[in-house]
Amino acid sequence: MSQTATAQHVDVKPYLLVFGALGILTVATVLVSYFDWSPWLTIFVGLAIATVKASLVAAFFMHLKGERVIIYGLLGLCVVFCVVLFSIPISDSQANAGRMTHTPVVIQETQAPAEAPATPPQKP
Amino acid sequence: MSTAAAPAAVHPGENSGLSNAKLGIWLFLASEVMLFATLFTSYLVLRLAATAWPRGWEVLNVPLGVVNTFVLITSSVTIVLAYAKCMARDKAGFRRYMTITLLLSLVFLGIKSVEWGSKFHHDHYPSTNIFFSVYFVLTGLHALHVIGGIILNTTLLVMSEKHWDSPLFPGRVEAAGLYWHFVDIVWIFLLPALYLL
Repeated sequence: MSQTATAQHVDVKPYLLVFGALGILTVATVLVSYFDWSPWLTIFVGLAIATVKASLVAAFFMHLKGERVIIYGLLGLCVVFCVVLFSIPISDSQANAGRMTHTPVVIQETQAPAEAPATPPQKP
Repeated sequence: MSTAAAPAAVHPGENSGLSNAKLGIWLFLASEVMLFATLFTSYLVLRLAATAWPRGWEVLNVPLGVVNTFVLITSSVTIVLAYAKCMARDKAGFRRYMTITLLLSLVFLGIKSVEWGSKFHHDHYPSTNIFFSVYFVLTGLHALHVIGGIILNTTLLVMSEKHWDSPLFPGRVEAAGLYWHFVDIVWIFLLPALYLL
């Protein structure tokens, strides 16, 4: 006997509510960029709003809200690696901020040195 | 010849509790998260180390970026509605919402190509400076993912004609939807990172 897919009802109302929330949050992201805050605060708030939007998409559209534990474990591992990936280069970059790693080489035209004698000087 | 699929291809496996398609796409997305996280780390390190960094809205077209965000968010809704119609076994509804998703994807790429064309017209290339290098790499890689999604969704739309009754089909639609939502999430972070902050 061949298998066929069976019909299941999916409630679409949450999807439409999330769509509305994403639209409002997108407008909020744009408005935040116009505030005359410090750069760090602007970046923090902008990325915080983006995180909320991404969480809504993941929870409702990607159905993470009621997903299996194995997926949470997989994504948790992913988050740990991401934190490591972000924190090490950024902390290293900040620790060395303002420190020049090498002195700039200035190339100047100089007079060519006189040609060396063809035969080495004889010892007395 | 039997048309029955392997058990774990349709029903959740005994160990994972997931079908093959779902486990496979989540593993793939985990690798994609690491790919984009690497690029975002590069962006942050370069930005923090730069002596001068242009505000996105000084050099990029913010209205086009915001319109593209709405286009991609809407396409995320339409693909999840296509999945809902697929689960409800409403073939016409599935095809309608999948077609809308494809059209929105093409609109996104169209707007993106207008933006890139404008940058090239003003002699802004990846080699111009670090900002444009980061901008072209991140948006270019994202656009490649959008093209991949278009190919995937077009394939499903074509396949729905002959394979609609296959028990594997809903799983494939769900996997394509998960991929497309991931593409949406990446853009959600690209908009503030490049255009607004």
